Amino acid sequence: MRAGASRRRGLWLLLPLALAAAAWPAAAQMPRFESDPAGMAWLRDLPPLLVQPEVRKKLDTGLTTSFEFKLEGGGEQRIFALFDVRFEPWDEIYEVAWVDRRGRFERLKIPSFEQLAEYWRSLRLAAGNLPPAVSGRSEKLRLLVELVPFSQREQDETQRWFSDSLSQAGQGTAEGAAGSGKDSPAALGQALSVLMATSIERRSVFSYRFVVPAPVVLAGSPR
Amino acid sequence: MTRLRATLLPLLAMVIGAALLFQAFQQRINQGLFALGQSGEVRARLEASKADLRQLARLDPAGAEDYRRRFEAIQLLLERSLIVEENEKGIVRRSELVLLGLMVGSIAAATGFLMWRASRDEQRLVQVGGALEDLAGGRTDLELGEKGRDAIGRIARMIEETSRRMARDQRRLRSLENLSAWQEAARRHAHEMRTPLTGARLELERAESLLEGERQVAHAGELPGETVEEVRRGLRGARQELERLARFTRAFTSFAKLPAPQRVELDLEAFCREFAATFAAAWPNLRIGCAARPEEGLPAVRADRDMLRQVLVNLCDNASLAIGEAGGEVLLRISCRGTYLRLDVADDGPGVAAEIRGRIFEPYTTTRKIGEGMGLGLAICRKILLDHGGDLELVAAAEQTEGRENPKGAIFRLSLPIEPISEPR
Repeated sequence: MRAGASRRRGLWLLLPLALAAAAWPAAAQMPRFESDPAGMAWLRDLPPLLVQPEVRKKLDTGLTTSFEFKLEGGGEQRIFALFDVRFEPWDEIYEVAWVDRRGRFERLKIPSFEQLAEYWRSLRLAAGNLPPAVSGRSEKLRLLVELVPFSQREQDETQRWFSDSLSQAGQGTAEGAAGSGKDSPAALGQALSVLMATSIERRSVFSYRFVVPAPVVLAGSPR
Repeated sequence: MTRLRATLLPLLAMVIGAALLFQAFQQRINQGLFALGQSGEVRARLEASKADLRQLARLDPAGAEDYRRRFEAIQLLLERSLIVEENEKGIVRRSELVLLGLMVGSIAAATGFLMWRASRDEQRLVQVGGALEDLAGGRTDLELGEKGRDAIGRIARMIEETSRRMARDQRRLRSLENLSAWQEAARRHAHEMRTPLTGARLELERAESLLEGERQVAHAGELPGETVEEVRRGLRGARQELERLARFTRAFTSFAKLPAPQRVELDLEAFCREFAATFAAAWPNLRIGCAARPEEGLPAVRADRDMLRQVLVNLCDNASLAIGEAGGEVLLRISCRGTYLRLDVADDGPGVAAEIRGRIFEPYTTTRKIGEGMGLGLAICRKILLDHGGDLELVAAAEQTEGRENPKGAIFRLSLPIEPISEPR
C-alpha cells in the first residue's frame, strides 16, 4: 500500500518534466516580432501550423482556409493579417493570397504542400506600430492565430444552395403527400429555409495562442 | 364544465397543430440536411468519381475540359456538404429555436384568439341578456344583428323571431279589438234600426191595403182616381227606400255577426285556379290569372272555403270598380314564406289613394259615392283572415311598385298559417 503511494508520487514528479519535453519543439518554433527603424512591428518565423494534422485536413478539403492573425490585449483583439490558402484539387496546387497591416498583398500558386509550408515559414507580416518594450523589461505580446475553414463567398453560395435544397425538399414532400403541386404555406416554408440557411456562418474552428516578447527598439532607431 | 371543455379543446387542437408543425419541420431538416450527401459512403463514392474523372482526362485529353467541369461540380457539392457539416450544430440549434418560436407563436396566437373569443362571447351574451329583458318588457322591434351559428347566435335569432311574432300578434290583437268594437256598434245600430224599420214596413203595408179598399170607394165617386194613384206612388217609393235601408241593416248585421270559420284542408293553388275559372265571367272587365311556384312544394292550409271565396270576390269587386270599363288584369300569386302561405291579389288598376292607405281596413272607409257602399268589405275580409290566424295587408300601391314588372295597381296580401295557431276567437 505504502509502496504504491510512493510510486504515484514519483509519477506526479515526472509529469512537469514530460510536459516540458512536449513543449520543447513548440518553444523552439515560437514566432517572434521584430521592429524596423520606422517602428513597424513584423511577425517572423510563423509557427508551423500547416503541418498540424487538423489543419492539414482542412487544407485538403478544397475549401478556402483562412488564417487570421490577431493581437490580444486590453480585452480586445486587433487583426493585423489575413492568410488564405485553397487547394485546387484538379491541378493539385495551392492558391495563396495574403494581406497584412501595411497593405502588402500577394496572390500566388504553390505546386506542393512542402513548398507551401516553406513559404509560410518564410513569411513576414506587418503587425503595425506596437508599444516598444522598455529596455530591461520583458514586455509580452499575445498573438492569436485563428483558422476559419471557408471563405465569405463560399458561405454565401452554400447558404443559397442549402436554402434552395430545403425548399425543394419541402415541395417534394407536399407533392408526395397531397398529390398536387400546390403547397399552401410555400412562402412560410421558403422563409424558414432562408432562416435555417443563415445559421451557416464563418467562424474559427481552431485557435492558436502564443505569448511573444515585444519587439525591442534599439536606441537611436528612427521612430 | 362546458367552459373548461371549451378551453381545453382548442388547447388540445393547438398542441396537435404545433406537433404537426414540428413533424413537418423535422422532415424538412431530415431531408434537407442529413440526407443530403452527409453519409461517408456518398462522399467516398464522390471522391472515387473525382479520381475516375481525373483518370479519364489523362486517357482522353480531348475531353479533359468536360471531365474537369464534372470534377469541379462534384468538388463543389463536396465542399458545400463539408460546410453544412461544419455548421451542423448551429443549424440544429437554429431549427430548435425556429420550432420553439413557432410553437410559442402558435400557442400565443391560439391563446390570444381564445381570449378574444371569450371577450366577444361575453359581450354577445350581455347583448342577448339585454334583448331578453327588453322582450320581457314587451319591446317587439328587436334587431340584434347576430350572424353567428353558435348557440348565442341561435338564441339571438330566436329572440328576434319571438319579438317579430309578438309584434304580429299584438297587431292582430289590436285589429281584432278594434273590429270587435266596430262590430258591437254595428250590431247595436242594426238592432236599433231593425225595430222601427219593421214597424214602418208593417204600417206601409197596412196603408197600401187600406188604399186598395178605398180605390173601390173612389170608383164610386167619393175620391178622385188621380189622387189615389199619387198616394200609391208615394207609398211605393217609401217602401223602396225602406228596403234599401233594410239592405244596409243586413250589411251591418253580416259584419256584426261574422261567423267563425269552418276550416278544412285546402289546396290553395287548386282553390285559386278554380276561383279564376268559375268567376271569370263575373267581372267582364277583368282577366283573372293564377300563378304559383310549384317547385316550392306548397303545403296545404286549413281554411273556410266560402269565407276565403268571399274575400277574393270582395277584392276582385274592388279591383273591377277601380279598373273600370278600360279593363285590366288580376293576378293571384301564391308563395310560401316561413310558416305562412301567401296569396297576393295584384291588379293593374290605379292603385289605392294615399290618403286612405293607412286606414283602408277600418270599417266605413270607402272611396265610393254615398249610397253605393258602406266601406265594410275590406274590414270583413281582414276579420276573416285574422279569424284564420292570418292577416290581410296592402303591400303595394301604384307608386310603390315603380320599377317592378307591373308598376301599376295594388297588391293585397293574404297570409294563412301553414300550422294553425291558437284560435283568436
